[in-house]
Amino acid sequence: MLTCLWRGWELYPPEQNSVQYGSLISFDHLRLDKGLILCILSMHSMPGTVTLSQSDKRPMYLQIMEQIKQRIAVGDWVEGQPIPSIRQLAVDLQVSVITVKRAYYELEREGVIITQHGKGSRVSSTPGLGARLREKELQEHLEEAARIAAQLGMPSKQLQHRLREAGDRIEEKEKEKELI
Amino acid sequence: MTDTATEFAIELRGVTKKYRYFTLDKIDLKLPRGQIMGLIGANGAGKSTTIRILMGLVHQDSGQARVLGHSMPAEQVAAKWDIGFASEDMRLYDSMTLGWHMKFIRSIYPNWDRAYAQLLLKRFGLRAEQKIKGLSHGQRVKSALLLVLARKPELLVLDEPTTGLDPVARHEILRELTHVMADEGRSILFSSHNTQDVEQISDQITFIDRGRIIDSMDKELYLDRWRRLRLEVPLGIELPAFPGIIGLEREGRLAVATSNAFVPDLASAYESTGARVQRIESMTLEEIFIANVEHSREEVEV
Amino acid sequence: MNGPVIGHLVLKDWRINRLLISVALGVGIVALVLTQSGGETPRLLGTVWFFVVMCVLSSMLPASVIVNERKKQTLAFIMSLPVSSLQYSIAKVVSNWAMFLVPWVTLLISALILIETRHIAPRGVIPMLLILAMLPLIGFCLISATALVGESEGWLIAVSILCNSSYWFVWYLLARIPSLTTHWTGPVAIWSPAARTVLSGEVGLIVLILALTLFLQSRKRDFI
Repeated sequence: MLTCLWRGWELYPPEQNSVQYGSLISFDHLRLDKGLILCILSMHSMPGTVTLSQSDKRPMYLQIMEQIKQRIAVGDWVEGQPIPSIRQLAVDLQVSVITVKRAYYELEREGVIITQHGKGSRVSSTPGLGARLREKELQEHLEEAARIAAQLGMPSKQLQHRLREAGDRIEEKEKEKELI
Repeated sequence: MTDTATEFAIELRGVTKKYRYFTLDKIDLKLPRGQIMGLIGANGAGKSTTIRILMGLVHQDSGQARVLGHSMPAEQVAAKWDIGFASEDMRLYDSMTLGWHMKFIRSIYPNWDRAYAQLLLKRFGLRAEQKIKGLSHGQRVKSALLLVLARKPELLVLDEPTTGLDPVARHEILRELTHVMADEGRSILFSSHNTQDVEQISDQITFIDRGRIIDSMDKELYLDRWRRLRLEVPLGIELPAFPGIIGLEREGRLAVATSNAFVPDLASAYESTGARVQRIESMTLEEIFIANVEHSREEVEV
Repeated sequence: MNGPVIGHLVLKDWRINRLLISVALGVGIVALVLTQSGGETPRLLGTVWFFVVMCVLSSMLPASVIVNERKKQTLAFIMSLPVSSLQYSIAKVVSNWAMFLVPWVTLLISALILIETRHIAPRGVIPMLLILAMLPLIGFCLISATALVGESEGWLIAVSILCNSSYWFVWYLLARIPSLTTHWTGPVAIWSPAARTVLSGEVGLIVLILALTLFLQSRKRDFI
């Protein structure tokens, strides 16, 4: 956490206070050991860090969108909360303004954020947005599972069984964690 | 000193330059203010020549070049007050220190930011008292960039700013370049082999090959136009190359179609021939670069 | 006309080349001191050195100030500054000439003073001295013009060798003009018409070469 805050301060000239955005925004490519350590530190100590992965082959704007949705889903960013301006986030992530613009545009189309001219952007004030995003994520995962099952020719009863098994396994792991 | 109403930081129209073994042919290029353009091309494609023309160092044979509203090369002096230029084949004075160079630039340009210069010295790990001849390649490149960044010019023109640098140095430089973006009025044009850097920080991408511009447009729109379709085709079925497909490779039952003008209809078009679309993949800029160059060279040869 | 930037470029050249100038000046002064000494050998050495140091400087200075800028690839750095190619050439001519003239004028005046006060040579020799001293100046003018316009070390070397090996021949030719040599052992400096013609010819040649240099530089379309 300390390391990342340090990096956060280093990124901004003193006038721009990064801390007002709550959680940390800086990131590092997973290229170097140094970067890897910083990333791991940041991921484990600061929930919901926006990081872009070099090995992730998906377009950058999609990664940004997903990370923003995750932070909302997790509760880091709440309804109505102001988020970094397009230009600010672009500087923080070291990506082009146009990529962030696109991410914000798509997010706005999905109703996740709202951008007002002259006032910047903020999380949409729809109540329960976080939960809704979580729901959507679950839905997408379930549909993907169903798609793969269909490819494998698995009957739906078997898929349900597998899902129950997976659920049980997760529960067990949670119990083990509590015991420790 | 500049016309604040100009929409474009750089405008090249029909710029042509003939050398004995190479011709730069009718270059059209537009960089809107406040944006970053990445110029990509193989070695000898014409990147450096294009950059020299827009800096007024080389006089084009025909066509207009306007930079920050100034016509080049006629108004190059006025333009260069607001342009910061660094190129890969540029050197500083070996026998002098970095500090001397900083003082030299400071004496000429009024908007040198001392505090920022000191910050850059720290960030780049440089010492002002060191003589240039004692610096490593990476440190020299960073020194040249420091001299250009500390002036905070309206336009940065960089010819291969990260070539030959180790990953840490590259990262340091990219960070400073993206910092420039925080100011809406400032623009950057940089040429690079490193497609990853270009893909990450450019707003506009321009591809140049053998003296011609192949593509020049918004990066996101550009990346969206390119897709690889992985197809599974039963034996005996011929796969046509639909319009928008510039590459089609097939081995047995598997085929890969590369498109530079992708629309979802293309996938359904292939499905209607009996093939099954396994995956539609987006392409990295490096893959696009190679596919693009191969395709444009085929076209020229045909 | 962008004076301040040109001024900075001139100062920059001085700063970078000050060692060369100091050494040339130092050797020249030693040479002049030698001409005052008692023995004939030191006096001969001093006279020859005095002349030779000018010739050497006339080719080393353009090499260091002008050709090196291209060779060491610092030209792009300078041309990225708000200066045109013509203004750059002007700055180069000014700094180059100033750096040559400092030792040249110093040594020439010192020599004249020594002739007047210490009588190291009869006053009659003064016109010839002046004419001969102009030769490395013309050589310098030609070599620096080549350096600027020719852009290559090869041309510079060729013209340097040509100039440096021709001085003696020119001196031989000049020595055959009777009105230049008849009175040079005399106590008075006599400015014969021949002397005046030769001197004005030399000055005219320098002006011509300079004008041609700047003209050719302004016509260049590919500066780098």
